[in-house]
Amino acid sequence: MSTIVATNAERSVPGQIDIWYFVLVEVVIFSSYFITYMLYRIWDPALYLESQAHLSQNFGALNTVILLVSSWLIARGVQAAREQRYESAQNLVGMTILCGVLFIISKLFEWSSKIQQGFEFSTNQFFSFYYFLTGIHVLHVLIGFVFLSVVIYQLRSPQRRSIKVIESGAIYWHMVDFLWVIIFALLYVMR
Amino acid sequence: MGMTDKRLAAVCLLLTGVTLLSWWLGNSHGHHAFTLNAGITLGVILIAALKVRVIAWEFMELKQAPLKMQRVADAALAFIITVLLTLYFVGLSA
Repeated sequence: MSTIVATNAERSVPGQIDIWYFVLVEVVIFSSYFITYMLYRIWDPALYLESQAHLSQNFGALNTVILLVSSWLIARGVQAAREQRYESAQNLVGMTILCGVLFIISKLFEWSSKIQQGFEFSTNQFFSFYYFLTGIHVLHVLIGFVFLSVVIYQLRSPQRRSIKVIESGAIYWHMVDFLWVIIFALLYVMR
Repeated sequence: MGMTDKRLAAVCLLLTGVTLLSWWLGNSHGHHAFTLNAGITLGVILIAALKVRVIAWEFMELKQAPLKMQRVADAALAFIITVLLTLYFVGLSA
């Protein structure tokens, strides 16, 4: 992959600066959740390891791939909008939303399967973290639908089109993706 | 497919590849291998950090953002990963 290094004159803030402050606040909040999780985990690693064994690694990996593909689609959508290929951009944002819906369906399926197996929020500390972290993340996916709907609304009419607003919607969606990447590592895969 | 589209596709493939590597690390010792394993944890958390960095740089386009923004992003990522790994290893030795 070739490296593109922007010169100082070419550098610019992608999207609106406000979305970056929002991302920063979200990162601080989620980081505090991740650190709290790790603090509790080191007190009773055996309980966490035993509980982790009941999660489906395959579901976790599938969720991650769905969100990565969705990030790729929205990044292509932004690119298409820049090149004034607005119809293609709308289709790509639509496919991104579809990936988000798939993610939520797979999460609902996973949660119901865990509950049927008897693993609920109150089962133990690990499962409290599991439902809390995955639940708050799903809430962010739902908020992402609002952001992406605004992007589609912008793309539909020449009078409304603002590339900065479209980029901002994409930045929010990428944040939802990278937060999941860390949740996947901490809840499903670390030992 | 333009240069940018090709680059985005390559990034997506890279991220999917390292996700599968992470998934394999978690599965490589069979279902009964849910025991403390510092090597797997270190590998998985560093892979997650790499993925977050690539998403931020390539998809969120921080690669062309002002240097100050890049430094804040790198410092935040380095901080959280260092705290998580330090806590884990302190816990292991306690």
